[in-house]
Amino acid sequence: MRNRLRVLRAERALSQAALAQMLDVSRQTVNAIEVDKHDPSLTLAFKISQVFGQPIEAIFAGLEDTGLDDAGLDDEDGANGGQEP
Amino acid sequence: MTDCDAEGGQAPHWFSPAAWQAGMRPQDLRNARVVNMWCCAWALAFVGATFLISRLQPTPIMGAVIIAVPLVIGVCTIRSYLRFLHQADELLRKVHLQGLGVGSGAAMAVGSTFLMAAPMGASALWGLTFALAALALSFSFSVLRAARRLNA
Repeated sequence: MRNRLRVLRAERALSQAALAQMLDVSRQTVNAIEVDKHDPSLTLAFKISQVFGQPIEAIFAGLEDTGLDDAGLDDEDGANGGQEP
Repeated sequence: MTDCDAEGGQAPHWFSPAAWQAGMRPQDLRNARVVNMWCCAWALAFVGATFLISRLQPTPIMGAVIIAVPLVIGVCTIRSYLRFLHQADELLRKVHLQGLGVGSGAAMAVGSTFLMAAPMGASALWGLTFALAALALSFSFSVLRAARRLNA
Protein backbone atom coordinates (compact mmCIF):
# COMPACT_ATOMS: atom_id res chain seq x y z
CA MET A 1 0.00 0.00 0.00
CA ARG A 2 1.53 3.28 -1.07
CA ASN A 3 1.72 6.04 1.47
CA ARG A 4 2.98 9.56 2.14
CA LEU A 5 4.60 8.71 5.45
CA ARG A 6 8.11 9.71 4.41
CA VAL A 7 6.92 13.04 3.01
CA LEU A 8 4.87 13.86 6.09
CA ARG A 9 7.76 12.87 8.35
CA ALA A 10 10.17 15.06 6.38
CA GLU A 11 7.77 18.00 6.56
CA ARG A 12 7.82 17.79 10.33
CA ALA A 13 11.57 17.06 10.51
CA LEU A 14 10.95 13.84 12.38
CA SER A 15 13.44 11.00 12.35
CA GLN A 16 12.23 7.44 11.89
CA ALA A 17 13.21 6.71 15.48
CA ALA A 18 11.27 9.70 16.81
CA LEU A 19 8.17 8.77 14.84
CA ALA A 20 8.52 5.16 15.93
CA GLN A 21 8.61 6.27 19.55
CA MET A 22 5.48 8.38 19.06
CA LEU A 23 3.70 5.42 17.48
CA ASP A 24 5.07 2.88 19.99
CA VAL A 25 6.56 0.69 17.26
CA SER A 26 10.10 -0.16 16.21
CA ARG A 27 12.08 1.99 13.79
CA GLN A 28 12.15 -0.96 11.42
CA THR A 29 8.36 -0.90 11.28
CA VAL A 30 8.31 2.77 10.28
CA ASN A 31 10.96 2.10 7.65
CA ALA A 32 9.13 -0.98 6.32
CA ILE A 33 5.90 1.03 5.96
CA GLU A 34 7.71 3.84 4.18
CA VAL A 35 9.28 1.52 1.60
CA ASP A 36 6.03 -0.45 1.10
CA LYS A 37 7.37 -3.66 2.61
CA HIS A 38 4.76 -3.75 5.35
CA ASP A 39 1.12 -2.70 5.50
CA PRO A 40 0.29 -1.27 8.91
CA SER A 41 -2.53 -2.66 11.01
CA LEU A 42 -5.71 -0.62 11.27
CA THR A 43 -4.75 0.41 14.81
CA LEU A 44 -1.36 1.67 13.66
CA ALA A 45 -2.90 3.42 10.66
CA PHE A 46 -5.21 5.31 13.02
CA LYS A 47 -2.26 6.21 15.25
CA ILE A 48 -0.36 7.54 12.23
CA SER A 49 -3.43 9.48 11.21
CA GLN A 50 -3.65 11.05 14.68
CA VAL A 51 0.05 11.92 14.82
CA PHE A 52 -0.04 13.77 11.50
CA GLY A 53 -3.54 15.15 12.01
CA GLN A 54 -4.71 13.92 8.65
CA PRO A 55 -7.33 11.36 7.63
CA ILE A 56 -6.11 7.87 6.81
CA GLU A 57 -7.04 8.19 3.16
CA ALA A 58 -4.83 11.28 2.87
CA ILE A 59 -1.82 9.28 4.06
CA PHE A 60 -2.41 5.85 2.53
CA ALA A 61 -3.32 5.18 -1.07
CA GLY A 62 -6.88 4.17 -1.86
CA LEU A 63 -8.29 2.05 -4.65
CA GLU A 64 -7.38 4.60 -7.30
CA ASP A 65 -3.67 3.90 -6.75
CA THR A 66 -3.73 0.14 -6.50
CA GLY A 67 -4.30 -0.83 -10.11
CA LEU A 68 -7.93 -1.79 -9.62
CA ASP A 69 -8.87 1.19 -11.78
CA ASP A 70 -7.61 -0.83 -14.76
CA ALA A 71 -10.80 -2.84 -14.41
CA GLY A 72 -12.84 0.31 -14.79
CA LEU A 73 -13.74 0.62 -11.12
CA ASP A 74 -12.47 4.12 -10.61
CA ASP A 75 -11.46 5.95 -13.74
CA GLU A 76 -14.34 8.26 -14.46
CA ASP A 77 -12.25 11.41 -14.32
CA GLY A 78 -9.06 9.85 -15.64
CA ALA A 79 -7.26 10.73 -12.44
CA ASN A 80 -4.24 8.59 -13.28
CA GLY A 81 -3.89 9.83 -16.82
CA GLY A 82 -3.74 6.28 -18.12
CA GLN A 83 -0.45 5.59 -16.37
CA GLU A 84 0.39 2.44 -14.50
CA PRO A 85 0.21 2.91 -10.73
CA MET B 1 21.02 9.11 1.15
CA THR B 2 19.95 5.94 2.88
CA ASP B 3 17.48 5.71 5.70
CA CYS B 4 20.26 5.11 8.18
CA ASP B 5 22.17 8.15 6.97
CA ALA B 6 19.01 10.12 7.52
CA GLU B 7 19.01 8.96 11.10
CA GLY B 8 22.55 10.25 11.52
CA GLY B 9 24.30 6.94 12.11
CA GLN B 10 26.19 4.19 10.36
CA ALA B 11 24.14 1.03 10.03
CA PRO B 12 25.69 -2.00 11.70
CA HIS B 13 26.03 -5.15 9.62
CA TRP B 14 22.69 -6.94 9.43
CA PHE B 15 24.15 -10.10 10.94
CA SER B 16 25.38 -8.38 14.12
CA PRO B 17 23.17 -8.36 17.23
CA ALA B 18 23.42 -4.56 17.23
CA ALA B 19 21.57 -4.44 13.92
CA TRP B 20 18.80 -6.60 15.31
CA GLN B 21 18.44 -4.60 18.47
CA ALA B 22 18.74 -1.12 16.97
CA GLY B 23 15.31 0.41 16.82
CA MET B 24 13.62 -2.39 18.73
CA ARG B 25 11.35 -1.30 21.55
CA PRO B 26 12.80 -1.82 25.05
CA GLN B 27 9.75 -3.90 25.90
CA ASP B 28 10.45 -6.26 22.98
CA LEU B 29 14.12 -6.55 23.91
CA ARG B 30 13.19 -7.36 27.50
CA ASN B 31 10.64 -9.98 26.47
CA ALA B 32 13.09 -11.48 23.96
CA ARG B 33 15.74 -11.80 26.69
CA VAL B 34 13.23 -13.56 28.94
CA VAL B 35 12.36 -16.00 26.15
CA ASN B 36 16.07 -16.61 25.49
CA MET B 37 16.69 -17.34 29.17
CA TRP B 38 13.81 -19.82 29.27
CA CYS B 39 15.12 -21.47 26.09
CA CYS B 40 18.57 -21.87 27.65
CA ALA B 41 17.03 -23.27 30.82
CA TRP B 42 14.96 -25.68 28.74
CA ALA B 43 18.04 -26.86 26.80
CA LEU B 44 20.04 -27.34 30.01
CA ALA B 45 17.17 -29.21 31.67
CA PHE B 46 16.81 -31.43 28.59
CA VAL B 47 20.51 -32.29 28.56
CA GLY B 48 20.55 -32.78 32.33
CA ALA B 49 17.48 -35.01 32.34
CA THR B 50 18.80 -37.10 29.44
CA PHE B 51 22.14 -37.50 31.22
CA LEU B 52 20.58 -38.43 34.56
CA ILE B 53 18.18 -40.97 33.08
CA SER B 54 20.89 -42.66 31.02
CA ARG B 55 23.45 -42.74 33.84
CA LEU B 56 21.42 -43.28 37.01
CA GLN B 57 18.85 -45.79 35.77
CA PRO B 58 16.27 -44.15 38.11
CA THR B 59 13.12 -45.74 39.49
CA PRO B 60 9.94 -45.00 37.50
CA ILE B 61 8.82 -42.34 39.98
CA MET B 62 12.23 -40.69 40.06
CA GLY B 63 12.38 -40.88 36.27
CA ALA B 64 9.00 -39.19 35.99
CA VAL B 65 10.19 -36.40 38.27
CA ILE B 66 13.36 -35.94 36.22
CA ILE B 67 11.34 -35.84 32.99
CA ALA B 68 8.80 -33.43 34.49
CA VAL B 69 11.43 -30.73 35.09
CA PRO B 70 12.19 -29.99 31.40
CA LEU B 71 8.50 -30.43 30.61
CA VAL B 72 7.50 -27.71 33.09
CA ILE B 73 10.32 -25.46 31.89
CA GLY B 74 9.16 -26.09 28.33
CA VAL B 75 5.64 -24.97 29.17
CA CYS B 76 7.04 -21.84 30.81
CA THR B 77 9.13 -21.19 27.68
CA ILE B 78 6.05 -21.43 25.48
CA ARG B 79 4.15 -19.09 27.79
CA SER B 80 6.96 -16.54 27.69
CA TYR B 81 7.14 -16.80 23.90
CA LEU B 82 3.37 -16.25 23.65
CA ARG B 83 3.73 -13.22 25.89
CA PHE B 84 6.54 -11.97 23.64
CA LEU B 85 4.37 -12.44 20.54
CA HIS B 86 1.32 -10.77 22.09
CA GLN B 87 3.27 -7.71 23.17
CA ALA B 88 5.65 -7.55 20.20
CA ASP B 89 5.80 -4.78 17.66
CA GLU B 90 3.54 -5.74 14.75
CA LEU B 91 6.36 -6.17 12.24
CA LEU B 92 8.36 -8.31 14.66
CA ARG B 93 5.27 -10.45 15.29
CA LYS B 94 4.72 -10.84 11.57
CA VAL B 95 8.33 -11.93 11.05
CA HIS B 96 8.15 -14.50 13.84
CA LEU B 97 4.78 -15.90 12.76
CA GLN B 98 6.05 -16.20 9.21
CA GLY B 99 9.13 -17.99 10.52
CA LEU B 100 6.99 -20.35 12.57
CA GLY B 101 4.90 -21.13 9.49
CA VAL B 102 7.96 -21.90 7.39
CA GLY B 103 9.47 -23.96 10.21
CA SER B 104 6.29 -25.98 10.74
CA GLY B 105 6.03 -26.69 7.03
CA ALA B 106 9.66 -27.79 6.84
CA ALA B 107 9.24 -30.05 9.89
CA MET B 108 6.14 -31.66 8.39
CA ALA B 109 7.87 -32.18 5.04
CA VAL B 110 10.96 -33.76 6.60
CA GLY B 111 8.97 -35.80 9.12
CA SER B 112 6.56 -37.19 6.52
CA THR B 113 9.50 -38.05 4.27
CA PHE B 114 10.98 -40.19 7.04
CA LEU B 115 7.55 -41.79 7.62
CA MET B 116 7.40 -42.75 3.96
CA ALA B 117 10.93 -44.10 4.14
CA ALA B 118 10.23 -46.13 7.31
CA PRO B 119 9.48 -49.38 5.40
CA MET B 120 12.91 -49.02 3.80
CA GLY B 121 14.57 -48.95 7.20
CA ALA B 122 14.59 -45.25 8.08
CA SER B 123 14.64 -44.69 11.84
CA ALA B 124 11.66 -42.91 13.42
CA LEU B 125 14.02 -41.40 15.99
CA TRP B 126 16.17 -39.93 13.26
CA GLY B 127 13.00 -38.73 11.55
CA LEU B 128 11.95 -36.85 14.67
CA THR B 129 15.45 -35.47 15.11
CA PHE B 130 15.68 -34.25 11.54
CA ALA B 131 12.15 -32.81 11.69
CA LEU B 132 13.05 -30.78 14.79
CA ALA B 133 16.31 -29.69 13.18
CA ALA B 134 14.42 -28.65 10.03
CA LEU B 135 11.98 -26.65 12.15
CA ALA B 136 14.74 -24.85 14.04
CA LEU B 137 16.86 -24.16 10.95
CA SER B 138 13.96 -23.01 8.79
CA PHE B 139 12.66 -20.71 11.53
CA SER B 140 16.13 -19.23 12.08
CA PHE B 141 16.74 -18.80 8.35
CA SER B 142 13.37 -17.14 7.85
CA VAL B 143 13.92 -14.68 10.70
CA LEU B 144 17.48 -13.96 9.53
CA ARG B 145 16.26 -13.31 5.99
CA ALA B 146 13.57 -10.96 7.26
CA ALA B 147 16.09 -9.16 9.46
CA ARG B 148 18.38 -8.70 6.49
CA ARG B 149 15.52 -7.42 4.35
CA LEU B 150 14.01 -5.09 6.91
CA ASN B 151 17.04 -3.73 8.79
CA ALA B 152 17.52 -0.82 6.41
